[in-house]
Amino acid sequence: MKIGMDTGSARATRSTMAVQVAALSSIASDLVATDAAARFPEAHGIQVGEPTIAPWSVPSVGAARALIASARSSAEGLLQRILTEADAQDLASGNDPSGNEPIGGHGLASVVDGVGQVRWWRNWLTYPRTALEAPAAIRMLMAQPGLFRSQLNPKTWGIQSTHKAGTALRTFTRTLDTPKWIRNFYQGASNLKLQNYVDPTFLHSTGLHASPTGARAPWSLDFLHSAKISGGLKSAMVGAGKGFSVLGAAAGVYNTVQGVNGMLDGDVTSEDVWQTADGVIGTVTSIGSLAPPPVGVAFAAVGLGYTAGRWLFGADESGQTGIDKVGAVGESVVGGIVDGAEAVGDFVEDVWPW
Amino acid sequence: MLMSNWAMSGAAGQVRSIDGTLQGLLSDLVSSGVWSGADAERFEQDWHDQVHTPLVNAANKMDAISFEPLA
Repeated sequence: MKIGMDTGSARATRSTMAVQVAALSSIASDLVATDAAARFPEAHGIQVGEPTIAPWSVPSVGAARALIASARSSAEGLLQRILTEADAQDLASGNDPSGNEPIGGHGLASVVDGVGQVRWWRNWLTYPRTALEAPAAIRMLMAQPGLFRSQLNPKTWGIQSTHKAGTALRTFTRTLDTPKWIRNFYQGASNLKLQNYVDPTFLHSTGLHASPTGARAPWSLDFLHSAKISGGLKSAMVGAGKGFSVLGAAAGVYNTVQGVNGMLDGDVTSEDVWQTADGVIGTVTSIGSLAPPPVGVAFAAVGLGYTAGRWLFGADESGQTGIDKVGAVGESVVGGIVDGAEAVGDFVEDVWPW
Repeated sequence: MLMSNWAMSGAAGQVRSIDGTLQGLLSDLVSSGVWSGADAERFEQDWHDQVHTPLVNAANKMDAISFEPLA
């Protein structure tokens, strides 16, 4: 039975569309080269008198290039969506693309529709869980002053000139003739330095930059050093962290079962393998994060690192990786700037009297 | 490869041609019963917004590009 899609025809159409989309890449690469040559014609061998992009058209080349790149990237993601939908349809209707009947039966296959949602929940459980355990990680770093002072403190990175500049600035801000707002600004910025989050004793405790742990310490620093957090809030944070760990472990077990079932249907796809890996790693890191620091923190950190890596390099339901999404944001920003420059160029062209 | 004036015009036409072909295939996909339902409608709308419109805009911008001798 087919539900909403003739998957065979959809896959065939999708393949033809992919060929057309791929044809855009040569145009896009030509535009990249032409865009670069338009900006620096001599560097690309264009001699005086030879035709090149007119200066007022340079923004249009960049804009066209960005638009085609954006369209191509979006098209690839959308075409992947057709495949994902076709796979889901085949599995839900028991018509595996390989022709094999799922060993677990149709009922088992039908729950695969919920995989995306489970993965979403597993991903987003990892972040708050790890964030809630961050204070413990900070305290663990505080217990390693040698490591901190040698590797994490920018002052030990051997930038002597920066150290001298910092000393001079500190001396300047401690002079009574210095305007008070400058002293306050310096102190506020100084309090936010990385080393103060790890070890609050780095805050100045005497002179004009005093009051390291009182009302003038940044709230974020107070919050991180849980010795200053009330007992009730601390208990709530620990409880919430453990609760997220339990939920993460449950989601991990679910993912593992789904992944293994997917592999048992006779067609071991990369999606099955990744889902199993997600499930096993999610389960292990979630259960491990229940342990007291530093062991629990280490497990939570591994879980967060794995999740971040999967987000950055793994494709979602639409075929987009995290890197693609970051790139798309950057591309849209650049596109916006290019469009703005082009609008200015168009305006100048319109109002120019000759 | 650097594009000349005629190559730019040709590329703009090629972008329009590819877009037209893709629109025809999309129509085959969602309007001929191959894929129906809310997901198909959402796909068609996303394709229009994220692929068709940028390609049309890109072709228009390529048409508007002027060339002149390097001074």
